[in-house]
Amino acid sequence: MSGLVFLVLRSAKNRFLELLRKPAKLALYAIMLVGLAVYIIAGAAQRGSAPVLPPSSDIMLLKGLIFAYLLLFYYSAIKMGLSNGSAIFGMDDVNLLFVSPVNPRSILLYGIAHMMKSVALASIFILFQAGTLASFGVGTGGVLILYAGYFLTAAVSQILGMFIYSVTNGRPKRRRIVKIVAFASFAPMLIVAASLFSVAKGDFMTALSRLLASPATSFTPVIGWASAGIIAFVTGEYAAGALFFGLLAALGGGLVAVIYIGRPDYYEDVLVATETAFETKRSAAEGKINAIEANSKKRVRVKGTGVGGFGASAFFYKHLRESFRANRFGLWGLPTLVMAATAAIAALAMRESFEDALGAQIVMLFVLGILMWLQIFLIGTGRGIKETYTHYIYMVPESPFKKMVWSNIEIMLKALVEGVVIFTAAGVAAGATAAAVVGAVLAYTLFIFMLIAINYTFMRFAGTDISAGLLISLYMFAIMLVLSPGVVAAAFAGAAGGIPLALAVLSVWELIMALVCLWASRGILHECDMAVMRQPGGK
Amino acid sequence: MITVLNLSKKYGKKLANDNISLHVNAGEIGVLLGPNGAGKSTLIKSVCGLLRFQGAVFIGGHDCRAEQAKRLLGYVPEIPVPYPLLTVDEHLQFIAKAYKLTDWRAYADELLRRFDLLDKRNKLGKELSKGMQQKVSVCCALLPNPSAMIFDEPLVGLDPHGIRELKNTIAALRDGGRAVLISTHMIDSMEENWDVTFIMRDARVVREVRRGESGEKLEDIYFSIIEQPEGDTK
Repeated sequence: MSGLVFLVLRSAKNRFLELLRKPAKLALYAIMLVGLAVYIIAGAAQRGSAPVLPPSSDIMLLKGLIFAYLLLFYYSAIKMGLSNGSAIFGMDDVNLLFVSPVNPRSILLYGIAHMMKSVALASIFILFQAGTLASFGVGTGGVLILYAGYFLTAAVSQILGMFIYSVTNGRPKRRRIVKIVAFASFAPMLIVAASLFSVAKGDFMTALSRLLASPATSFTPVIGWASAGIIAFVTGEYAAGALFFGLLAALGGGLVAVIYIGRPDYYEDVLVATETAFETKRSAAEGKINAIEANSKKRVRVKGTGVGGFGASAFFYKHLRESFRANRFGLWGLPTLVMAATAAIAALAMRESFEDALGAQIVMLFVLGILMWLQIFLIGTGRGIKETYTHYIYMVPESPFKKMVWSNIEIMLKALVEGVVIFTAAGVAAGATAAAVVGAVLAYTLFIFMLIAINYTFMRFAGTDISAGLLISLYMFAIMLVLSPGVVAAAFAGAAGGIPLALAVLSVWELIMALVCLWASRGILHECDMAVMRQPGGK
Repeated sequence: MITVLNLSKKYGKKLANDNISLHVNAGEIGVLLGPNGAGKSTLIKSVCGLLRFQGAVFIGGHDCRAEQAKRLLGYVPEIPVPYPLLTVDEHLQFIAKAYKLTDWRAYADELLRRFDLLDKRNKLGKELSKGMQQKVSVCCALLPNPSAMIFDEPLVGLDPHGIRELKNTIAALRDGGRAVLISTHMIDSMEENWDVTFIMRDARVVREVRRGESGEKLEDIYFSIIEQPEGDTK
């Protein structure tokens, strides 16, 4: 039996045996799978009700959203390729496989297969978008298509990153060429956009819709293919869907073939990325919070210095200093402005679809929903929660409650101002009432408060024996469970008294649950094991 | 000053510390020795109140989780964890503010000088080598002038100058009436400076030796116990 086959089979067997040894973990996986299935089926059932947006415009809006979302992957792949390359291997592979007498080409295929497995597992979270997709009139089949498109794009992006690094490493001229080619791939789309918007005469929504439907967008490499493929399959145009997905698969396969045939000595091309990824994970596991900031090569200017505060408040002033050093705009920098602009454009786009005042309020709900979804993933990056992974917050002789409060004020302030900026922009664009804007700001800020409290409660009770992947799924499940009664109550309130009342009810529910979770998490800083950072996956 | 009574700690089903009791008086250096996996780091973290455990730990007579105990305790972890975006000087400022210290500047400068960090005071945490990070970690722990100091493998990663300074600092802490508990694998480096040694094996303290009780070197005591067959260590 070859070494690689042995490695794959034995690893799978050991993983399975480990699962059997931990029945609680097995049961949790089963619960998660059932929960996910119920969620997807519920999303499909919801499709029976009237869609939020008229069918004529919503599918192009969905395509635009998918395009914008996948753009992040494409951008990251190119950026990764131009810096360190892709980490498709682990340090165990580097230390044991790379020095072994196994054919490097076989190892390459093993690495790619392993990477695709990891991407397939990581892509599962996209299935939680079933509810959002249902509002576009997309059912269970569409969710699975979205999963396939997302998986293909993520996998091809990884291979692309590795390929770019292998051809540009140490060659500045080639790096410039890759940048030009990357920008040029959007040129047809930009030319069509310029021509459509120049004759739009104020009807920007039609122009945007035509741009998204145009072949120039659909044939934009990787993300154009992926978004067009997903939409084609969802709308029943299977031949077009197969063509676009086929293009993606062909690109991925072609790049693998080029590396397989042309660069059998690719070890150097993957080493830097593997070591960087390993170092980042190790730093995090060792309690080095902000491992990404610590390992970042970005030059930081030390202009103002000093930390203010007294007692527990020193944590807040320290966070301010760190945030202003990480980002020269401080707490509310470019990302907030970009989000506000995006929300305003989305609100403007959707406003076209509604003619009554209720429509504008629904737009606010839509923007709120997307921002809340994003925060579920971003909240863990807040400095307050990260602080629990290092010993300082436990050792400082102050009341645990004070320390917890002061270490989270920075993120709450950020959320409040972000909410005001984003929802004011979206509200003005959509023509929403002031009450709806205020309601959305409140619901958003208190949702973040609730997420922080849920995070602490989770840390208090989750223990350290389950994997990070499972923790994330459980965490999302817990959020939905905690939020659901509030959403149901808000829906009833909305039906009776309008959307501002619904948002007020949701805000009150979030506040109550935040306080309950904070109470449940008591003792986290003085009666629990210090938090340990865990990374999804073994590699 | 540092009192551990019947401390047990489990990770799931694994017993990491099994009914451990020990005491380090003010003006004493206690050394915790043992092979990898003996439970030294778990014990150190429990003493610092970073882990949940059964039993009791008192620092200066206060429960280790109480604010009064935290005020008396300094801790240098095995892996230095500086904040990447704070300068060396800001680390000390942060500790001074968080611990509500007054008149700390002169002592902070003295620590920076002693550990060769004066010219690095405006360097960010992320820009420091591992040894420098360890020195910052030591300075942060010493700044509040604690009555009890806990070190977990403090000499790993330090350059010869740093090792000498830290050994001198540890001796000075003892001479100043502080209780010091050190977990280390570097037995040689502690040979001159120890008052009581706790040798751990399989989650238990299998032997407590006070200086003078045995004429042997620390290393000989350690190996005479660790190389004995299991169950024959008392």
